[in-house]
Amino acid sequence: MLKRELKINKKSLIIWTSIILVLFFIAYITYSSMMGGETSKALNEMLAIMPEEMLKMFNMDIVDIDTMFGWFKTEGYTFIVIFTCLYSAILGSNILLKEESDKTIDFLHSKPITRNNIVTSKIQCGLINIAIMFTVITVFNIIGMAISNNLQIKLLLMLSVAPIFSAIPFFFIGIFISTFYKKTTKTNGIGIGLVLVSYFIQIISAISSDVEFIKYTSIFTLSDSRDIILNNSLNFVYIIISIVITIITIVGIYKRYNNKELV
Amino acid sequence: MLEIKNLTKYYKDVKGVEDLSLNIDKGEIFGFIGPNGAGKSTTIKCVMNLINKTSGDIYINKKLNDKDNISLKKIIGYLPDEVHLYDDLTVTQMFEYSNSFYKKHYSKRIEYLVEKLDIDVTKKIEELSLGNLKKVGIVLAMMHEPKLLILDEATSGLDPLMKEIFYELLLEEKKKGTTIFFSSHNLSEIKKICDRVGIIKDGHLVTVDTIEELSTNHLEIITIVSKDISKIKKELNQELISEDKNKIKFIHKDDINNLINLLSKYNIEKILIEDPEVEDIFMHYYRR
Repeated sequence: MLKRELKINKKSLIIWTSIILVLFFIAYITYSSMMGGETSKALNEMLAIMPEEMLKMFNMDIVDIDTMFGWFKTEGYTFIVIFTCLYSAILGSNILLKEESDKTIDFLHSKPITRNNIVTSKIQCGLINIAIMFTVITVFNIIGMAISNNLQIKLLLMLSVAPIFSAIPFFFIGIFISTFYKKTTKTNGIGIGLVLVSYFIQIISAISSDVEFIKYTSIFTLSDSRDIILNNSLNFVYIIISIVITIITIVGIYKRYNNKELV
Repeated sequence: MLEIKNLTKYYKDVKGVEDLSLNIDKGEIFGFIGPNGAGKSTTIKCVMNLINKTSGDIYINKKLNDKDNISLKKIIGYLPDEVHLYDDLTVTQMFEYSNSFYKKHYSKRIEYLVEKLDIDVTKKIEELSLGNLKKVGIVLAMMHEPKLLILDEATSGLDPLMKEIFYELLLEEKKKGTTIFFSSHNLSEIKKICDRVGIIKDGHLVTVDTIEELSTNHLEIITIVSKDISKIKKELNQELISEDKNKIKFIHKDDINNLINLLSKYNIEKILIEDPEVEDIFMHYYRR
């Protein structure tokens, strides 16, 4: 069953990963030809007139973006976080519910497997896909940074791993939400909406210190790169919160699915 | 082999089935018949644990058939009323995927069923017509030589020739001792292959009988022609099969002498008393 699941989800994994890789490829090409001298000077002048909140939003207040790694720590990182989280949330909201939505659950459920077996296979497949996505992106960036003489391996690895602490909870929340529905058409929208609202909350919290507290309602906070860049280490509190959210949703998923009416 | 005890299923406040009990013996073909919305599919979905029972228990081979009883799932073959499979697979791949859930390889059995049902295994699932999809569904239900076959509207979409082949397959299974729970709308096929039949209406099992018992159940079809037909109709107060000017036709269940006494008061032009066809008996139960 796992083998088949991996086969079904291969196409979307390739598409989503390719989008990220293409953007980074363009960034590597552009940076290698553009940066240095007059261009860097012009960029720094432009940043100097930008509002502080705006710079803070993309970590530009603590990072120089006139190098490829500088860009990675700001916009590049944001791009990875949003795309991997969107992919994870959509994957989660589809992977289990698809059988009911396509009515193939009649077939699958008649086979000698338990409902727990079904959920476990789907979760395994999702986690393998997410792991493949992150591995490919990380390897691609290590090679890219090495070629462009920007490789700071420890920080790069930490920034490559950090988005997982948001992506995995989004994946499991996506599955959990799907256990309340019968059709994937509804849950896809909810999954995407959840990621965008969560990101929006994080942006708002970065703009003003008055509402900074609302960042704790956003899953994106769990992969906040600011601490990593400033302290050169991962935030273990966020990692633990991410694990706790994951465990709670996993328990919820198994409980809900075992009591769900599948047709 | 299959025992349903006091099964009740409510969809929120809407009744699906209520207090339904039945027993199907090993090697029996049990017909389950009823009008649309009577509760046939609800009963089957409860047996397959696809939906939650409100109350009641289901036993297969004297073991409680709960959701996670894999040993029971191994001996059940299920054909849903609508067959939905994986569009991206070919028929062969679909059979292989289904076989991957069992330890034993059933390639010879699949080959036999494919040949019998004349299935093109190279086609993709998405290319199949409704009838061919049903045939693939039949193979998927029967490939692992189940001891209990649960078939929901199994022949809908099959052409008459294929229906006959399918009946042959079922009778072969019966000979091997397979128990078959066969839900259908089609009265002639119930008559042809079933040992017993259960009639379900409004979520209740109205009767369970053998086909022979149903036919000799002291039911008579009465046709009366009389100028006093409106008075007779009023006094009989009976649901009619048909009505035409001075003529009425209905199913009579009580002692025929009572009816003759009642009619003796009127001027009767013609009376016809017939043994009913199985179809008439079904209609009698449906109308009640």
